[in-house]
Amino acid sequence: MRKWSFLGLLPWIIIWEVISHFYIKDPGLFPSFFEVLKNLVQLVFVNQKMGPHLAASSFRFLVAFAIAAPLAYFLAVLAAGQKVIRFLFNPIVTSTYPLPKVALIPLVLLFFGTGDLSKIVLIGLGVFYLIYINTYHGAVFLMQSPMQDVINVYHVKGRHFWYSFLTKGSFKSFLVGAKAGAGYGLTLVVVSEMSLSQSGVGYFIWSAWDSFRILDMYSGIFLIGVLGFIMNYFSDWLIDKAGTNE
Amino acid sequence: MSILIENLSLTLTSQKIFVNISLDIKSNTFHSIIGLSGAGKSQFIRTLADLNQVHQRSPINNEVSIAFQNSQLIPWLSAFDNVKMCCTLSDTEIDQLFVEFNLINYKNFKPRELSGGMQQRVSLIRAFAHKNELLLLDEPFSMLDLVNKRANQDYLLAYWQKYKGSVLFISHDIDEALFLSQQVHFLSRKKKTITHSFNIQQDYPRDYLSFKNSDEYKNIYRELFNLLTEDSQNA
Repeated sequence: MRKWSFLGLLPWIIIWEVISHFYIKDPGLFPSFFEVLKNLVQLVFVNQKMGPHLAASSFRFLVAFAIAAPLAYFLAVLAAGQKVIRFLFNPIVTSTYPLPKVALIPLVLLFFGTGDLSKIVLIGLGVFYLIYINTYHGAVFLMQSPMQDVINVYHVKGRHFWYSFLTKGSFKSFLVGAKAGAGYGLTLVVVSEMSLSQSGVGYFIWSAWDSFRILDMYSGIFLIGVLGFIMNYFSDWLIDKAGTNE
Repeated sequence: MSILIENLSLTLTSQKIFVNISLDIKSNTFHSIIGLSGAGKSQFIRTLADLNQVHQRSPINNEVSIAFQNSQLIPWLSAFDNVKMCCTLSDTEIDQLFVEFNLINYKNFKPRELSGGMQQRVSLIRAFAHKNELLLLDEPFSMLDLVNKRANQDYLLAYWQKYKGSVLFISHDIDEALFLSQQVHFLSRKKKTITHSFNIQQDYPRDYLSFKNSDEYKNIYRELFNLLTEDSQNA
């Protein structure tokens, strides 16, 4: 069923087409879906203007995700199973989680400069919180489940407790957090590039708007949407796979 | 080594669950506790395994292992890994246990890929693999059909006779308790304690059908049935 989920976009594309053709007087302000798609194909494959921006955004996102995701997974499992770590990390995570990450942009700029590092830190922060919170609750749920009786009776400790039970058991919660984190990370890629950058898809969208290249702006936004859809699709596939392995 | 339980009581949220239960479980003997639902059988087992965590320490000083009613296998681990994580046996020794319980071809299967009867056998392997002085079995076969239940009872008795150890089996099935045990204790729901104990003289191995036709079986069955009926009326 999931592999046909993109078909759910069809009615919205039709609505888009209808609005752009019949209700918008200036098509320059709201181009049709196929115009945006054609322009995006041009930008990515023909004149390749989008290539470097896509590469820059992907690099920042992947590096941030590759650092934040395992770190959040590791710390969340540790906090669930170890009182001292829980005491040390939970208050700071829960008190800083509600801060909008965008509000941290000036702070991040101050500490990490205007290069890639500041964007990576900002994206990483967004990814970290969502994965940490999801994984932590998944691991705590395991420790409150009847399976904990087995752990207690048989004195399961060390590698078996930390890896076989807690880490493997909370993997699905990690994936759910990673899915939410990836979506939020993508948002932060765009936002950070709009304000801090000379490259990236976010910068491309903002500069297109700034120079009134409306079609390019739509194509950039559409590209982010496509990336989000692909990430979501892949995450759901992984979550399903993790579910069937249990 | 004999396991002595003296005047054990449990109160949870100011509700008395059971009171003053005393049992002397001699080394290498098979005991059963029978009682109605709500009599506190499972809570008694959980207290012995220190799972209620209301006592400062376990009421007995012995190492226990347990097979639960729902097998409680870790769903993301294979049958083999479920056993491995709970014991210090070598892989070869665990393999040997899987052979004894006729599950060697299924050792890499996940719990969801095994039938209910097989899951319970893995749970038994896990319990036997853990070096223990007392094996607690909390109605491990209650969810199985008759044929699977009988097969698993045979596996349990065969392994127990071979390797011995003390067993405390919980059941609400008179037939099962009598067939498996050397001593059956009746836990009254009304009085919240063990009121009667019965010794079963029949030697192992027992033939199920001929044992059921013996006078010993019939007499104790009748007495236990009357006790359960009376307990259900007065509860």
